[in-house]
Amino acid sequence: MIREPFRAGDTMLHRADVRIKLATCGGLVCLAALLRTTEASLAALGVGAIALTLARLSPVEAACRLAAANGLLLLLAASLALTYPGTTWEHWPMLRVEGAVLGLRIAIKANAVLCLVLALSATSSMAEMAQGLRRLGLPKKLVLLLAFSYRQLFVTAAEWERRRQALAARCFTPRMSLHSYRAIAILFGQTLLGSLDRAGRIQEAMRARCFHGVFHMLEAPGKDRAPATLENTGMVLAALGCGALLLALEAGWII
Amino acid sequence: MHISDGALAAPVLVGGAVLTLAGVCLGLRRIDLDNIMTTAVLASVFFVGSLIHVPLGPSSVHLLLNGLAGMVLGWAAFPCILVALLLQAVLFQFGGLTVLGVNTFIVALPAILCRLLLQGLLAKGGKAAAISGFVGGSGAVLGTALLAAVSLGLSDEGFLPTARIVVLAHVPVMLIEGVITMFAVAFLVRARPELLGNRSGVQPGLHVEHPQSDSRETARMSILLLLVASCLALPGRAEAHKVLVNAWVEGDVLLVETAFGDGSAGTKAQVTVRDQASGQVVLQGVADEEGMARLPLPEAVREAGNDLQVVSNAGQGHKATFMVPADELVGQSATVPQDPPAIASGDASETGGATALGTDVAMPPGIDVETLRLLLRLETSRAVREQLQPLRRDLRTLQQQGPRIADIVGGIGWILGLAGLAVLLRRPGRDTSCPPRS
Repeated sequence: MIREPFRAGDTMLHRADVRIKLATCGGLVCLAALLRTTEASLAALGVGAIALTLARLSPVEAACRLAAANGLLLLLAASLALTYPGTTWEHWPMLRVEGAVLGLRIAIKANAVLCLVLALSATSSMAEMAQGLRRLGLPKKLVLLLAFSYRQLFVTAAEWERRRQALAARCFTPRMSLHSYRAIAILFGQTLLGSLDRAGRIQEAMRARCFHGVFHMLEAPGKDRAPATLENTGMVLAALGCGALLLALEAGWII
Repeated sequence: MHISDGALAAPVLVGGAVLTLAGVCLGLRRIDLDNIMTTAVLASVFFVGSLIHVPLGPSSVHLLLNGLAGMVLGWAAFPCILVALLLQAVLFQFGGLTVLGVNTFIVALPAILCRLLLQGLLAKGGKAAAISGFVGGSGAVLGTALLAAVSLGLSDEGFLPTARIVVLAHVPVMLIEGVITMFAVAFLVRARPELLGNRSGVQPGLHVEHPQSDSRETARMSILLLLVASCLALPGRAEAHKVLVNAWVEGDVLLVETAFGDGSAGTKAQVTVRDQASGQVVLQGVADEEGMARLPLPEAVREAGNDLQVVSNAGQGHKATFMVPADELVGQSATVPQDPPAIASGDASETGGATALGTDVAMPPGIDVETLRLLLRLETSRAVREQLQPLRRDLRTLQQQGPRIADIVGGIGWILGLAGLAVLLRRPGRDTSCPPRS
């Protein structure tokens, strides 16, 4: 149900410090999402594609992820092309030119963001990311919540799957009926209660181990900085260069 | 519910982030070390719940379950939903990173409203709880869809039809969510009556309270909050790209001026003039370097006497519309005499000085007093109108700059953000019974 297929790998992007990856990812993603010109958006997509190539992710997996997201984007673009106020296309009057261009630009920007997220954040494990977020200064409780939720996700998913299979073994096939909805609702309710009970047990176990809010994996030992390795410096420089390029294109200094 | 990256405008993104930040601050205050595990487990349960596909007709929809999450988690729903959306964005690349704030807010706010409004009914149990489950489950999805529509509409008015489609598409999901939440609430009320009716939100695993508030953390969060809030105070970029259009008639020329909110001229803007009644394009032109387009008004347009709709497109979706009322066209054409009376207009303007009003002044030959008076009135009214044009233009520009919905929402964001800060700073007294830090 939940996999992290992009974590494995030993490229420059996999080796870089997670804080630098998160910071560059955040910066470039914000920049890419707010672009207003088509040229700059295309350039952002190019940057994303290059990052994706550098990360050497499994092409099939990456394509699947992109395709899933693009289904929704297609719907949005189609809706905009048909309803956005503006001039109609001479060959097919139902289509609005401005809406189609806007929809396309949103799709390009969203794909650029997706590529960047795949290349820069999906190449770290969630545990590394929680550590990085904590060291970047996110509140302790929020990061603990993230780390614990991620840990429990697999347990909960397995529990849900176990209960679902028990139901399937009794020849239950979900249909569009009140009976099915009731069964799914009760299944979910049972999972919730089971998880609550388990949470109580985990809490007690943690208390027994003297947990009082410090999760050593997440805490930074003093003021450590990301080492100035080739990957880290290269990444910061590349991100700054890409950001400058996008801004220059956006302001119309290049084209 | 996912609004994808790249669709929303910067002020909406920042506004959503600020509101989410305030909500997360409030939510984190409800979470202490005794219930953080419970909260995290519940967050993971609702994350798994959002992956459940439920059959609907030939296809299936995935659940949102934010209503139930709100009922179980209370204010802790804010950080939980943020975490769940972040996990979705990173693990499955659903949703997006820049829209995380907006998406969290539009999912979590209806969830919390659900709990606040339905708490009493839920505590009653039985049928009342089941009904409130249906109302809460479907209401939360409706609220989410409406908030998504609002954030789309605030970003670009052209998104409004799409926003309407978004809301309509959520109606079947709403019903299914309502039914499933109803059954789930009925089950939970029977199986664990104390879960939904209690007032404190998440139950601690062990009932020992020792809130550990970390002052440095509070300070850091406050600084973050203020930083983001101050982003809202820089509306320059959004305002700079607001397009202002103004159009007026001078003689038989329609003048259209296009400018951006920051005062720069809308050069090369495409100007289209439509007849408001028939919808036909009657005039087209391109603005010059100063953003002015001079379009000669054809006689047919004046005679039609309809309002004119002026649309100026400065490119990149920067578009604005202006209405030229019909009486402005008619007024001008009617007052300009088509065929002046049998006098030389040159003479009239020369004699039309200060002395012309008195009837006892010596008249030039061939002009009677009535004609002169008429001519004078015409000339004066034209001169006055020309003098007034810039003023009227300024007035219209001012009218177009009235408070927009975005400003109002931004203001609410400020108020909530500062309120959140106030709540943060008013932290409870330090409990000395908690074990010392190692």
